[in-house]
Amino acid sequence: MATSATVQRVAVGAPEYRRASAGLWSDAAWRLRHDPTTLLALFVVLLFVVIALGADFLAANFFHRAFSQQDILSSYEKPNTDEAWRWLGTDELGRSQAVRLLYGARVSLFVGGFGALTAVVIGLTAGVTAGYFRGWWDDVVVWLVTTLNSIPRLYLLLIVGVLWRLEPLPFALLLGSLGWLGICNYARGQSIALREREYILAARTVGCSPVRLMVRHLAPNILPLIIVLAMIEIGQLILAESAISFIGFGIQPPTPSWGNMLTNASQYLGKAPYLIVPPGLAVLITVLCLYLIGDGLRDALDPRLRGSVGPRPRAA
Amino acid sequence: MRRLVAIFGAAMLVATACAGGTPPTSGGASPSTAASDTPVPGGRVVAGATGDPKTMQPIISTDTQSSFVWQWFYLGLTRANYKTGETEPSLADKFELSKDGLTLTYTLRDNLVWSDGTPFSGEDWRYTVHSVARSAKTVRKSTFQDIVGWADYRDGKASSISGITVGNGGKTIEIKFAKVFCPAQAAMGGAGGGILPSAAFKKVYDPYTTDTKQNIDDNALNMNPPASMGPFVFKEFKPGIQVTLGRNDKYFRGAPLIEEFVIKVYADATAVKNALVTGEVTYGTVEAKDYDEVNKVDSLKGYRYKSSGYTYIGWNAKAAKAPWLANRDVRQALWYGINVDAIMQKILFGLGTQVYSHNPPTSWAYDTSGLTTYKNDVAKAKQLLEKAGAKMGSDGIYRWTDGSPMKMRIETNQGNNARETILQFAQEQYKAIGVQIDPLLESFNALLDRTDPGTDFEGFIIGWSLGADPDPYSIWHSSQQGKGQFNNIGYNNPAVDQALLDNRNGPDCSKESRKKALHTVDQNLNQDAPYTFLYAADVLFFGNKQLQAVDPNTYSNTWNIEKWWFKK
Amino acid sequence: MGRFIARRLVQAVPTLFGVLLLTFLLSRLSPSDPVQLMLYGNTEVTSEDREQLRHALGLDQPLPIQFVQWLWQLAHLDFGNSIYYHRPALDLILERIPNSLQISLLALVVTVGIGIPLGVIAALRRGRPEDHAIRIFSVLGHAIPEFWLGLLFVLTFAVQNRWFPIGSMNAVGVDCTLCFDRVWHLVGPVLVISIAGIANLPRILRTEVLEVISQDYVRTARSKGLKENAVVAVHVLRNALIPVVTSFGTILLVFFSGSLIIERVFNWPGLGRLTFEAAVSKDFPVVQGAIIIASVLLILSYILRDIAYAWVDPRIKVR
Repeated sequence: MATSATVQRVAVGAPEYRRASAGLWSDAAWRLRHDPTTLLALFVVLLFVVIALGADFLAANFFHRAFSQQDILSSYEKPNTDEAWRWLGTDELGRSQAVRLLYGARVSLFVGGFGALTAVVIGLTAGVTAGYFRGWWDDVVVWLVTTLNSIPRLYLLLIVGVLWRLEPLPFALLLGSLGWLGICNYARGQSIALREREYILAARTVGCSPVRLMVRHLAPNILPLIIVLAMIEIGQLILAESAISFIGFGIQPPTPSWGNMLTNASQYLGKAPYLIVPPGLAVLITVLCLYLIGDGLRDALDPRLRGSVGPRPRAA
Repeated sequence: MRRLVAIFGAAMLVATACAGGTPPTSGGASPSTAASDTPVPGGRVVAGATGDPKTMQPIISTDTQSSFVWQWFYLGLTRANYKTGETEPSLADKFELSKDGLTLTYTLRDNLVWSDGTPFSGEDWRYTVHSVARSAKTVRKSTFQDIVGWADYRDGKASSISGITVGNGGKTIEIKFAKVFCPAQAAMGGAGGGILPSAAFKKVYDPYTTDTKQNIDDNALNMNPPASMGPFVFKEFKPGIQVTLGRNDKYFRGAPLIEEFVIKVYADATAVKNALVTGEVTYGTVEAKDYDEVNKVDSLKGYRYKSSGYTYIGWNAKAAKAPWLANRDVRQALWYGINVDAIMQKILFGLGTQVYSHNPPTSWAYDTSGLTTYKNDVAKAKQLLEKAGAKMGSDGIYRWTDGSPMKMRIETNQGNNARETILQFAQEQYKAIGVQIDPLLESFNALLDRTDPGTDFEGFIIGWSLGADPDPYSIWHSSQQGKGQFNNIGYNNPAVDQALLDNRNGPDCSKESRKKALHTVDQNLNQDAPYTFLYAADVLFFGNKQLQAVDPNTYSNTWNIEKWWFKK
Repeated sequence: MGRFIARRLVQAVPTLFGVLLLTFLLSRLSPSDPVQLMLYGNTEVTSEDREQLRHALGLDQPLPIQFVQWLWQLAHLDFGNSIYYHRPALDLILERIPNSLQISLLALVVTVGIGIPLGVIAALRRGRPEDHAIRIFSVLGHAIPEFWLGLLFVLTFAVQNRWFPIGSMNAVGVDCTLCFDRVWHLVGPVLVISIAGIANLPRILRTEVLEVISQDYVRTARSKGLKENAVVAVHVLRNALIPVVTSFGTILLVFFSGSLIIERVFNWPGLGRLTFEAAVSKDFPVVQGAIIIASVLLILSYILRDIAYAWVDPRIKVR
């Protein structure tokens, strides 16, 4: 075990894999069911998603307030229990922080989710094809990845923010196009290792086309862990979005995002200190749960992988 | 750029910001009530700024961060009294306008000397004005356009301005005007900003030629002031950190008691406020939202006084994407449509005065008689819009006569909390009267650049900082709509044009006559509503309790800085 | 080792090229007119002046030629002049780098100094309360938005309680680097920036330590009677350090990016704050220069990390 373990660490991820079969997922599900932390985290995230999706409905029927609706005569109210929309207090324009938090969830989760989806699509495609075909395409992909990895992410977002003005959708795409690096590396590593497996060689001999091979044989083996990385990526993207919106180069007001709610809050620290807690806490909890889910999924899928695949310091 | 420098173009903020006391007595001590109240020298005053100075050359300086630095070195012949704004002596102790209003003569004080030992003379003033004429980056040329020989020199047809004569060994300056220029006494003294040490600057630039390609805009001394006539001399500039100034022993009002003056750079106004509260900064002004918090700090003493200027929403009548802004009824509707009372109460917290036209409450020309107050009235606003031809669409937004929806952009600068809040407030308010607003926040430089006279902007929120002598010519006259000039909203009113000229070129320069002309201007502006005039904010000044002799007011908060001292 | 270093340096060239290419393309493909960006603040610019500048900047040439010209300028260390400060952009950037490095290097020291012991403790006390606490702290530290932590720090420890300064490198009038005043000012930013790194190290280390501890050669060492601590120190750490060094790369990346916001929150005159202010005032030469320099620094630190990696695990050099 000593040698295989060290080899494990040296090469970029080449563990033994079980074949993608019903066994993997049902085993994983079993483990998950007995992992209370991950279940709780999953529940919290799903709750947030549901609430975010239902933001319009809740705003109209429960809070009776729109997110941009101002009531300047009720500005700077501390959180109180008078009415639902006052639960988290109001800001300088009398807007309900509770409702804005809701819509902020929508923006942040959308940017994180959609961005991660983009990242997975790009990363998986680039990584698998690079690992499978090798040659010049592999060189190009590696070059691209190394290049993008060498530019601090926020600097890149900053320069883009200077030159263009971004709506949430293009912004999500942009973030996604910077977040595929880790996924690509992993997929490529797996691809390189797996292409030498007997069943792959067999499929090739039989005449299986490369595309079919990658889609039906390579990808399913890589996918489980990609999902783990994706979870983590969502978290990292939410953090990146909140950071760049905080300094004013991301989502522009009045569209609320947790990041730009904090920009506001930081200006009123003296007058309304309660404004700074909810958005920051929301980001913290969401990202925390996503990491826990990622961890839990990884443990459930293959406990031996603990430590070699997991949340890395965010490249934000 | 243009805005905050309108003053320099029109009058005196430079002179007002200069330190210096009332009729100078040598080292007049402040009246002491007890033995422990004797002023002692020493100590460091730290002021907070929200950005590095771009330049220390008054001629090309267009932002307050820069002027806050060079104002300590380069003074004017006169300055505005810190409370009344009246022109009073500074480097000149006598100034006289001839009866026909066409000749202005300054007589300098005796024994004036720069911090490097060179004597100060009228030649320094003359040099500065010539440099303004040839500069490519300055915004102050309109101040001097009525001087005889100005145009010829500026265009390179002469090697000096014929209307300026320095005589009596440099002790007198005589200026001849081609036509009467009523604000002359107030405006000429500052040479458009501050007077430069000609001996030092001549080594890098000589304006007495016909070569218009050369100018003072790019040279090393612009970031390294060689000498000072003010209370402090330049010592060091560490970009991003601070500007350090030292005491000027040769200051004509007496050497300051304070030993060092530091201007420390912070990220934004909130950071400056934090620095005030924790004692890192000795004095500064705060935004309305922070007033309560800072007032409670024991170690600080607060002062509240009116400012000379106002904040407004400007509407570009030449906007290509918003042709309705050329219509007076629409502009009036926009004024009725926004609740300025709520702004005064909830954004300004009562720390200011609402204004209805151009001349602010601090001006001697202030007169609200006969002005409409445009009290918030949504129904009236809608009525006016419909009278102008707008038709309500199914989505709650009005459609203009050409069928296009009434959608437009309002922009303002980041970093000014009140303006940012008003922008968002306006968006909601105008939604209620059927006009859709697209808000845009940008840097101050970007705002100035985008709102340069042109057709590519619609609404914008910004403020004017005005000098004591009311001369709104450069802002409202129809001839001032060129690139880089201040009438960027396309305002055209012949009655106002005439009144502006009457105020500026008289020939009757008496206060009564000028007041009449200015009131005509105010009344027209109030009815034409080219701006939605908002308010003149109070200045909220706080200083460390240990700092004595502080006496801030409208036109200067540091006019007597040479008398400030720290009581232990 | 020398050959390894040389090889790594050569490998870095295409990466650097990629960075330059990307930066160049971004600036030329944006809707903002570069000439407009350069002539900010000039009130009497005529269209002839614009044409002249366009020609001087080579903007009327096809894109590839512009790129080569631009590279040539960069090779001469001409990054253009800052529009705001009227000084060479490179000078401004180089002035600020030492300030940022102070935070980054100190943060690295703190991260390693706290992270490694925490990881070892978590491993040795597996399953016990300390382990759980450290793991919770780990995940929390990962998930917390850095700037939020920074804001809370300033609010609680600097404004409400004057235990730390609200920002800047030194108190006014104090001008020293290796002194208590500077350290006192460094505490806030370093602590906040390190959190991400401190949170991550224990996780990695814990796993590694656990793996290694159960291996044969360790058991052999123990059975020989070597003291527990010696065993851990020599064998475990040596092996566990490998992934730690790997994570240095990402940690440094975090420091660079995070510094942008932390420097603003703590009023620190470093590269991050310069870039941000330049971005706000559309001072394009400075923003562009900052990205390039930051990338160069990052590439260099990756190379250093690889060298450290090779030193720790000699097998790497063969790759």
